[in-house]
Amino acid sequence: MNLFFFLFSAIIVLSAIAVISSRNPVHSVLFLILAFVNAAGIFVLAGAEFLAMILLIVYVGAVAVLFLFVVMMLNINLEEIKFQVKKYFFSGLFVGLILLAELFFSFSNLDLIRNKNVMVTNSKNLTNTHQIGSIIYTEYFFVFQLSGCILLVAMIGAIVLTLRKRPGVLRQTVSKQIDRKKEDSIEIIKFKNNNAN
Amino acid sequence: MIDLPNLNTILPEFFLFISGILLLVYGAFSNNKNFSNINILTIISIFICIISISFVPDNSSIANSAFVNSLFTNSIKTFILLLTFLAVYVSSNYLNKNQLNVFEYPVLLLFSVLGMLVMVSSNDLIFLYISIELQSLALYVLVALRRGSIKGSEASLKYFILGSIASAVILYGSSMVYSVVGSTNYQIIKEFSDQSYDNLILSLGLVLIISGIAFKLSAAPFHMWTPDVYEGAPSSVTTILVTLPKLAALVVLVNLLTNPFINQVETWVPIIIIISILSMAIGSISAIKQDNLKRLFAFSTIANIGYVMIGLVCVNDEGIKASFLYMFIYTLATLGVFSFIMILRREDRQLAAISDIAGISKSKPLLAVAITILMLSLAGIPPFGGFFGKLFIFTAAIESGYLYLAISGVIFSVISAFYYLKIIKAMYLDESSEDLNYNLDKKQFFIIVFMAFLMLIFVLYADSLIFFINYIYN
Repeated sequence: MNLFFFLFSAIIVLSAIAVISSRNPVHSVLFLILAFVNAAGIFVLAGAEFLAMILLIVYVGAVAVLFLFVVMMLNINLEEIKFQVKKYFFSGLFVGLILLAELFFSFSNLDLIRNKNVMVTNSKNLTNTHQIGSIIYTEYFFVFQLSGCILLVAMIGAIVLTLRKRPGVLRQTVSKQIDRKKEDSIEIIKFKNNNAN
Repeated sequence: MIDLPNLNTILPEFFLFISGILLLVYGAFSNNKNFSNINILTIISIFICIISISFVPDNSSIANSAFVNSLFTNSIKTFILLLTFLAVYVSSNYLNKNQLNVFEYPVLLLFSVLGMLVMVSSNDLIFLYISIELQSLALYVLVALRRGSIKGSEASLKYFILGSIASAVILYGSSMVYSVVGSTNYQIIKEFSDQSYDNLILSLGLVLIISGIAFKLSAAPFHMWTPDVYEGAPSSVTTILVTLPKLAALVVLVNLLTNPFINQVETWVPIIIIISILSMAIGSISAIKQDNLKRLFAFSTIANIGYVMIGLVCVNDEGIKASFLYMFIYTLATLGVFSFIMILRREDRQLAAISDIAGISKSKPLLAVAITILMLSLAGIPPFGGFFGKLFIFTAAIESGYLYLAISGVIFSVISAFYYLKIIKAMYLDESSEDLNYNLDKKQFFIIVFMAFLMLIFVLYADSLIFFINYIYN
């Protein structure tokens, strides 16, 4: 167990370094996917298999593939990015140092963060997914419906913002296709033989 | 035995959801030809929703009191729905003229309003986050609706990215609160903070949540997006942006600060004071050099949010009532102002520059008088509504011992009077170069004059309005 934890975390750290240091942006995205997959492994070790699945589906399945598409389609100039790295080096270092200090602070005050009030009871020995499901469809039912509403709004938005009805654009009209009859589209013309010459 | 929740508690929200979906289906199958039908159906469903609020039982809650209704939330919801009705009513002509008459527009607006109604009632951090997301997501799309314009795209991208960061900050703060309390319910957070009010992580979570909501309120220093988004969005959407989400976010902030985080007064009062003074200063001073009416009123919004915040600092009922009174007056006045911006057209082009309204007093005298009244009201000149809003805010501040807040508020309102008077000067004294081609329809004209009338006769119903606010807020 411990061995696997160190294996996964070592791969995450190494691939994270590879993400920012590799020359080819496509390689960076692939290393990012590797980092996500190993993070999912750590979640499995921690007993949060639902989170691991979500990480695989959402991050590896959707987000990383989206990244790949963007990298491949936009043809990003790496030299420009390298130049920007030099430009923002010190401000980036500053933010990074603040984050590091916060990390040290929170590790030295672990008792502040650790929640002593609520211990999750797992009497029936249910799986993670089962427990989340049973709480989402009962206690958080209304919030669950609202998040469905958010997805609906996102879908309407995507359609409103991308669907264009311009003249000259060829598109399928299903009802027209179904309505087509043989008589409308095929005309049988009989040629007389003597006209062939 | 399973006890079913009383579904009347969510009747308005449920009805709005159903009507949104039905309108979506109707719009999709009617082939986008009868936008006016959909507009009428939207207005009808808003009114049925207002009626359905009266069926909501008082002080009821569902989902382990994560969603709570009271007389106060019901009244706020009614007001939000009335404002929605006015915004839909006033903008139909604008939408038709600018090729924005897609059926998705009212549908998205209804979903956004649904999010706001849940925001007002939410008594749980998860409900709060989800409802804020719902209302903002629909608004991002509405801002982006004018696809052809570069400014519109810039505005929507800015609004989307910064708004998502603000939502993420709210979520981060909520996760910190949850990590120490072990629950997201307001009551349980309050019980926890009764015992350990000096918990560092809880305060940090509170600060993050306040920053996120201050972004939604467009209060300085989280105001950067406001002028660009208000300018780039279609004017009808800007009308919605300056009124509805501000009111809902104010209710959320008041709910949070006075209910679960009342024990953290030492933490949040200085933050709100700084936000308030910064908003008033930035809103009043930056607006001076603006030539574009929409940008100018974006800064005016920031300044007005600063005044509203003074009421929250008082940490008593008087201050909060004054804040809500101010917010009511502000929303009605800005609704009138943005209806005015919607009608400014010349040769099939929307206008928004101050120079474009020059000489209106000659061609449209009644309109000019109405706009003058709205401007004087926003500036806080005595007989009009805006003056009383400021009066109650400053009185509450002085009574709670924040004399310096009241003084700085007066100073900044004097500064902001400059640009309100500049608009009046442009209408009455400047000569127009060419005539405006108004598409003034009766609806917009009626709304502008009606709002000006409300501001004018505010003295007559001020007593009953204050009595009503006292009645609903206790």
